[in-house]
Order: sequence, then structure tokens, then C-alpha cells
Amino acid sequence: MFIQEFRSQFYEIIKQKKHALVLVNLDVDAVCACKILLYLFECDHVKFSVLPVSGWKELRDTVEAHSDQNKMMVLINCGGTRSLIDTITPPDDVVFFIIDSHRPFDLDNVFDDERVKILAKREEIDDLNCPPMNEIYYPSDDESEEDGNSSDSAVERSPTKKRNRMADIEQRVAKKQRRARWNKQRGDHLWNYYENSWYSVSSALCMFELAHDLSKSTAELLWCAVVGVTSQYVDGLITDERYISTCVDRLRVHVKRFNHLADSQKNLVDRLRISFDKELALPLYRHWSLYSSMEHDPSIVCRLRLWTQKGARDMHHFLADLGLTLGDCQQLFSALSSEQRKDVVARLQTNSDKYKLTSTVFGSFIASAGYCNSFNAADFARALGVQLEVACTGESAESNFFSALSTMSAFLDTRQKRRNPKLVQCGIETCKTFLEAVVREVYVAINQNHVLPTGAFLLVYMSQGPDLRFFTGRHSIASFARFLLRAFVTASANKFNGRPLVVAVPLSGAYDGWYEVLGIMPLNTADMDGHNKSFIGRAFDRVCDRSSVRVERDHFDSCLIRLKAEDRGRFFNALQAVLETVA
Amino acid sequence: MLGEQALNLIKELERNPDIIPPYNDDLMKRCIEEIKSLYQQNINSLAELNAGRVGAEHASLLQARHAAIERTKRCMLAYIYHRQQRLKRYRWDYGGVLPSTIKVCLCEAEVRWFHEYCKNLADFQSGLGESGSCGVDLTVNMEPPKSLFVQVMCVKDYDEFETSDGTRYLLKKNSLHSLPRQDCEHLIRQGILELV
Repeated sequence: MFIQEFRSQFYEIIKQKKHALVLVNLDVDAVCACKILLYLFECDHVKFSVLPVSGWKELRDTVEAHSDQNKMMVLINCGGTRSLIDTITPPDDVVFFIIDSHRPFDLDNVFDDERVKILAKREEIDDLNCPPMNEIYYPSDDESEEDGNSSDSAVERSPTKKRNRMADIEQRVAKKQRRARWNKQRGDHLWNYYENSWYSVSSALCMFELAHDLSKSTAELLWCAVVGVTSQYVDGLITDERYISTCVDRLRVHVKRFNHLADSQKNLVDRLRISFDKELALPLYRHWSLYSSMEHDPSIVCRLRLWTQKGARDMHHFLADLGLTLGDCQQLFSALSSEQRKDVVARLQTNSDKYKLTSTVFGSFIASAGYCNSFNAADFARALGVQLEVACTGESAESNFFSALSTMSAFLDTRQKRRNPKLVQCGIETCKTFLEAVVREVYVAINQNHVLPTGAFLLVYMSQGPDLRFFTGRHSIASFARFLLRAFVTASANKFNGRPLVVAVPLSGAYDGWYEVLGIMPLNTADMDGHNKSFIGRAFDRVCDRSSVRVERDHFDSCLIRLKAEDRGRFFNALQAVLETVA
Repeated sequence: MLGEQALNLIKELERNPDIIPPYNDDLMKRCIEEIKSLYQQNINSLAELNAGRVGAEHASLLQARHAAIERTKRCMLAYIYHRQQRLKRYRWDYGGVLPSTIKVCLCEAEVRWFHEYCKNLADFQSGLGESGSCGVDLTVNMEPPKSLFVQVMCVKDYDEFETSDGTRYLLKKNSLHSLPRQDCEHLIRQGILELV
């Protein structure tokens, strides 16, 4: 059941119950949404427990363990895409509230009026194209009873009236045909509905709008929403147009409001200030040297083909053309004088057309507080994403979640002198090593021809190595995959423009002998209805239905699955067959 | 020197600002002796003055001695008063039962006073609130808490936990909860929960 009034139908109900269990997926958007929701709960003295969940199995176990104590469960960025009642089988008195940016929602969840409540904006519900209920669920009980009655009566009457019996049989045949027709129609509806998977508006933004509705929004919460939205953009989950329209239509208004507030209270230096401005699309350049940042930016790497020997030379030419000295580029960007900084940014912006560099600049949000360095929302999202997936402390995914949450809290702490951006800095340092690993792996894969064009799709097996510890989650594998696909298409002179890429990463530890398999859409995929829709998840599902490979479809994103190493040949053959029939 | 003992008393308190030093019976007694002897000298001088055996210049000596007496007395009272203040603070910080390390430092009168004080406080507290209720414990929440709930991380697996208002929590490793402040204090002390 869809809920459109977040305040009255969701928040007020939980507020009355005074106790909620919040289950959070491990992604940046979910962390931000969780942070906002916890702030609201704290304001209203609602008691809560927060548990991170990494997959369906863990979700089921957690719900099972806690269903005795908690009757209100809030699911953030998880649980919407499969039938909750069937997969989890919770006790009858448990109510689920789903705040999920994964699409499409499972129809069982959509049509469950009692126990599953999905938060969705009105304008989005029409976009979803949910088939009407009577075409998915056959009004079975009346029909079957009728069926039974008619057959009974037919037996009774059979000796007396033959004509009547004929009519009965005709009726039954007609009914059967009707049923078959209906079944076929239902299949079509389901196929159309579930064909693609995509991501919708950020959950953090939804929660921020709820906070605004409750008159509890602050600049800090706005920053959470901004980071949530930007993380979707950085991960390539939403299209550029959608990102820009979200920023302009739904976020900029609030930014202006809070800036106005901050301006009227000039004496508070420590206040968090957020501004919306043009930014260079180079990763982490505010905290790195310009040269390293350019070396790790996909568009520059692909444009100059930095994996070749000529590439490095071209890079120096490029910089010379821009009029930047190597000395300036190779020192920390923050160490340049402010004129130089402005100059560099302006040169890059104006000269990008000459080098056919698209998207060197994008609209983004920048936060600054006190006298410390300012942070770009994209860098912030990257740092959190890496922190969530790369175990810096060598501990579990759950503790990574809480360290990301505390990073966010420390950065946003409004109490005087407790604001602490050190943890973010730390995350950014980890992010640098991660980006270095990505670039290294991409170069290896391109130079040693690891990408196998197997007919309908491209396939890469990542090789064992020390860098593998970075590639454990969706964010990291997807960044690698998108980078690699772009580089590979450039390297092969656009020959493989229309092929999706599948990356297989060998796992270690408890899942030794398994592969994490992620598929991404071809580069030339046109946006459908303004979404980055992907049919890969559906294709994986069909492969699993058709053949008996050992696969775990545990992840909330259907494009990411776990595959037993011995079955990989059979799996990819079957995937080939499926993708060929689709194409 | 006159009044030196009294000064030592004050210095002793000054040197140990956070604890109650052992009750300095010896020094107190010496102060009393000093006062007594000064007083005796004053009486003698006064008698001689009245009899006219010494000149009027002795009158100022009399005044000086009297001032010394007053000063010593003030120092002693200050000593006692400050110890009492510290003792009072212990009551609010640690409750009605004094640890033995503190108890050995007190004199008999102080122990008596402490019991008296506890009794008065208890009487006062039980008289607060509506009749029939058990009163209000004034010693909790000495600083107004910012919120009723605190956010805690669970660092060890623990079983089900029920708070004073009847809400049940399942405390498992790596989960974040908001619990009523006073309920979770002992779990924090046991190292099962950690404040965020």
C-alpha cells in the first residue's frame, strides 16, 4: 500500500507507538536518511533501535529476532523489491514502513493494505505504471466455489437433462479460456512491470522533506539530504538530468533559506554553511593535488588514454595547453594561493571544449564550517561510500556502517567546538587509496586484455591481488565497472558501445570459492523515462530460473549476485542465451 | 609566631582541594591551647592595667592579643565549615553510605553530623510530592539532562532488556539504541553498551 502523506500516515503513527526498529541498508543514501530520521525521533522522544542489514537473509533473521520486541519496523533502502510477507514471514502484528529508492516495488507489497506501507510521492506513483489489482490477483475464491457448485449440480441433474449438461460443459470451457487469457495477460503485465530495475529519488531527500514538513529542518539535515542525492549521482544510479532537476527544484530552495539565516547571524563563524555552485568534476581535488585528481578522473583518463605510454605525455601537453605549471599541479590544491586556485578552475572550465572533455563542471553543493577546509558533497559521498564498504579497521560491515554514521554525526555536531571533520578527512584518505586501486586495476585489465567480449556482453574476471580488499560492495565494484567499461570502449574505438559489462570478483573468507557478480548497462543506453533503467537484474533472475546454478541473490540490488565458482561457465553461457533472445 | 598553627590548618585544606584530609586533632588542640594562653595573658595584663602598675601603652598590646585570638578562632571555624561542605557534597555525589577510606578521616562529631544530615534529607525527600507517593529523589539528575534518552551502541551480545517504562529491547552486538538515561547506566558500567 502506498502512503503519500508521510507525516500523518507514517511519522505520527510511529510517534504514537513511541518505539520503532530501523533497518538500514549499507549505502550512503540510507546512512543519510537514517541520520535524519534519528534526529526526528530524538526530538520527539521516540525510542528506536537501529540495525544495519546487508542482504535479504540478514533482513529476515533480524526481523525474526526482533519481531517479539518491536512491532513497528522502518526499512530504509531495502525490502521494497521483493514480497516482504513471503520472504520474511513475519508475525501478523508487525507493520513495515518501507522507504526505498530501489524500483520497481514488488506488487505483493504494493497491494498489501495491512502490514506493508510504502512511502512514495504522489507524482511518482503514476510514473510507476503499476498494473491494476484485478489483473494481477484472480478473484479466485468466488470462482472456484462457483465451479464446485456447478459441477455438483451437473452431476445431480445429469441423468435428467442432457441439454443442460452440454451448456454446463460449454460454460466451463469458456471459463477455462477466459482464465487462460487472463493468465497470459497477467504474465504480460508482470513482464512489463518487472522488466527493468532502476533507482528513484533519494530516501534521504524524502526524509528531509518530512523533516521540513514537521518544521524541524536544519542546515545539518539539509547536508545529509544533499549527500544522499549526490551519492546517487556519483554512483551513476540516477541520470544527470534527474540529478540537476532534483538539485534545482527540491534542494536549492532550502539552501537559499538556510544561507539567509546564516547571513543574518554573522557572529556565528562555526555555523554550517552550504552553497550551490559550479564545481570541477574531478574527484577529491580539494584535498589532493590537481595532477593526481586528474589522473583518477574517468573522463580525463579515457580522453587522454592514460593507460598508454603516450597518454602520460599527452597529459603534460594538455596541462601545458591549459597554461598550468607542473609545480602548481603537483602540490596540494589547498596549498595554492587563492588567486591560483580560481585561475586553475577557470582555465579548466574554459578549455575543456577544446579537448572534447564533456562534463568537467557540474552543479554541486559545498559545505564549510568554521575555519576548516570546505567539503564538496560529491567528495563527501565518495568518502562515506568507501568507508561503508572498505573495512579500514578490519571489522565487520556493521561496524563500518556505524563508523560512517559517526563520521556524519561528528561532522554535523552543532554543539560548540565538537564539530569534528577529522573523520571525514580520514575517509577521504582511504578514498584516495581506493581510487588509486581502481585506476590500477583498470589499467591492468585494459593492457592485459582481461575484458572478454563474449557475444552479447563483455566479461571481466578480476584477478586475485592485494587490491581486491577494496572491491567488496556494490559501490566499489560498480565504480570499477563503469570506469572499465568506459576505458574499454574508448580503447576499442567504440566497437563495443552497445554491450553490457559483467564483472566477476573472487571472494575470500567465509565466501571462499564464490564470485561476486555485477552487471552494468551498455554505455549507449538511452534513458528511459529519465531513469537509468537496467535489465541486468531481470536477466540474472531468468538465468537462475532456467538453469540450476548455485547462486545467492541476497543483495538488495538485483544487479549484484553471488555465484559459486564451479558454476560460472554454465551461468555465463545461460546469460549469453538470455541476453541474445532479448537483443 | 602567633596564629601560625591556625594558618597551617587552612593550608592543609588548601593543599588537598578534592579530598577530605584526616581530621587534624593535634593542630586543633594546639590552636585551642594558644587561644587559652593568649586569653590568660590578656586577663593578667588587664588586671595590671586596672591596678595602674603598667603604663597605658600596654592597652594596645591587649588589643593585638585579642585580634590574634579572633583570627585563630576564625581559621578554626573555617576549617570545620569547609570540611562540612565537602562532606555535604559527598552525600550528593555518592549517596548516604560513606566509603571507609573517607570515614577514617572524619572525627566523631562529623560522623554524627553526617548521619543527621542524611536523615534530614531523607525526611525532606519523602515529604515531597503527593501524599502516599514515595517522594522524589533529589540527588539524581543534578544537571538537567539535555534529553531523556541517550544513544548507545551495543558492543556485546546481551539478552532482552526491559526498561522502566516497559519497553523491551533486544540488545545485540553492533546495534544502536536510544534508551532512558537512568536505565542503561549499569549496562554501560558493565561494558555492554557504549555511549555514542
